[in-house]
Amino acid sequence: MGPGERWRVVRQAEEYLEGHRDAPVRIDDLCVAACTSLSRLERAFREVFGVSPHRMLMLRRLAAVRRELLRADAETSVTDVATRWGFFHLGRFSQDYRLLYGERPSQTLSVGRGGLPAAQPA
Amino acid sequence: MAARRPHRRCGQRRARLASGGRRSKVPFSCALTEPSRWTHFVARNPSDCRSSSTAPPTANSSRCRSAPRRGHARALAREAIDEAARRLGASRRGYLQSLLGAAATLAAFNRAFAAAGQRGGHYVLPAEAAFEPAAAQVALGGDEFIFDVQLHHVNPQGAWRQERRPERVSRHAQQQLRQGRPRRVLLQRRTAEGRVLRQRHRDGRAVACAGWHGDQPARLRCRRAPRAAAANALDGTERLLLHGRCMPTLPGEIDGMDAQIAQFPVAAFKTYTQFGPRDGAAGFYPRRRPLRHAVHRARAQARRAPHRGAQGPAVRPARLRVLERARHRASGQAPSRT
Repeated sequence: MGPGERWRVVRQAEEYLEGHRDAPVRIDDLCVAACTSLSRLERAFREVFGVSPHRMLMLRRLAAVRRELLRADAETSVTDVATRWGFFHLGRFSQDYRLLYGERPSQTLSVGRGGLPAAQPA
Repeated sequence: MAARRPHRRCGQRRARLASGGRRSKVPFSCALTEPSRWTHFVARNPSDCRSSSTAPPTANSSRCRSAPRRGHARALAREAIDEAARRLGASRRGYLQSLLGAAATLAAFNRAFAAAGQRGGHYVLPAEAAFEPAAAQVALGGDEFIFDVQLHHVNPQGAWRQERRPERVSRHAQQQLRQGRPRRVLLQRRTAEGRVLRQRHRDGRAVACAGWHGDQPARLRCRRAPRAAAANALDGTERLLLHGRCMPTLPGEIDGMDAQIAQFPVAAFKTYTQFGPRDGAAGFYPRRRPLRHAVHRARAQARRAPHRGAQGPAVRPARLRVLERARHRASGQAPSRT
């Protein structure tokens, strides 16, 4: 895959992701949007971003969860937001979220509600 | 079965990668010392002065060359890459070979140079911008606009002026001629000037061509209307980089670099080196002394980045108002619309 083809694939995938910011996206959708196969999409993402498309989509969903938690109101819960974005294994979700952002989802939620972040266990 | 021999430079035996299970050609610790075999690895993560081979690379200043400075930059880069790869769930090697790894490395160098009092720290990004698209969008959002006014110095009596016969050009060029396109498609493709002038005429770009009368440049054609329209379309949110002109073989050009810097916030100097001494006394080859003088002057005076390319001579004071808005935006201040 040449640089031009690689950039075309990545740009079209990014444009599709940008146009569907508020909805979960599947890898098949990215392949269709970029007019390429899964293997070429995988190779392009690894060469440009260093991660696989699957991992990139998960990072995007984590960012969406964080965005919603930071704009949360009193009725919002972490479970509702996480399941809405496709995270059904909440333990794994909390672990990935903390690895990426360095804090637990509940801490982000308390910040979004305007309060102080919850005390982090030692 | 071939025996495993130690590597000729570092003495280590070839290691088996834990991820792919394949044998690496070069031990990882030795990879950085062999740019010829690992060019993709090193070129994306430069830690020293580099060149595009059109001019000899200019050595870093003594402050940058000092071991603590360089060690600081490399330590920052290594720390940023390790942290980013760990948080993204990518392997360190894979992340380092990606474009994101190169961006993280350059960002670390930017911070290191800014901390050392060197040129750097242009774009102040919050720490979370690397992992939060919204934070990055706040800092870097907006349309990019590259205002690149191009000027080509060519030999008016050169072979490129001999137009090809219409029946000898391609079908695409013939179709362009029938549609009323300019006759530049008839320029000689095999000459450097012909290739440049054919390629540089694109929509949205302003092009000025210059010829020579003796040893003095003479402008042949200057299309100012597209350039003025592009400048008027700026709304103050674009990042605008001004390029200064330097033709080092012309009298007064090198000394004139200071005047350009004093008058305009020049971001870089550009010159064209596509003609040789056979086209007149003003011609030069890129590796010769005149260009080196210009490079040294640019680095010594203002640490601007000289590079080969076109130049922007017609920056008018009226456009500085637009530039000031872009600078206010880059510095984090609210642009004032006047």
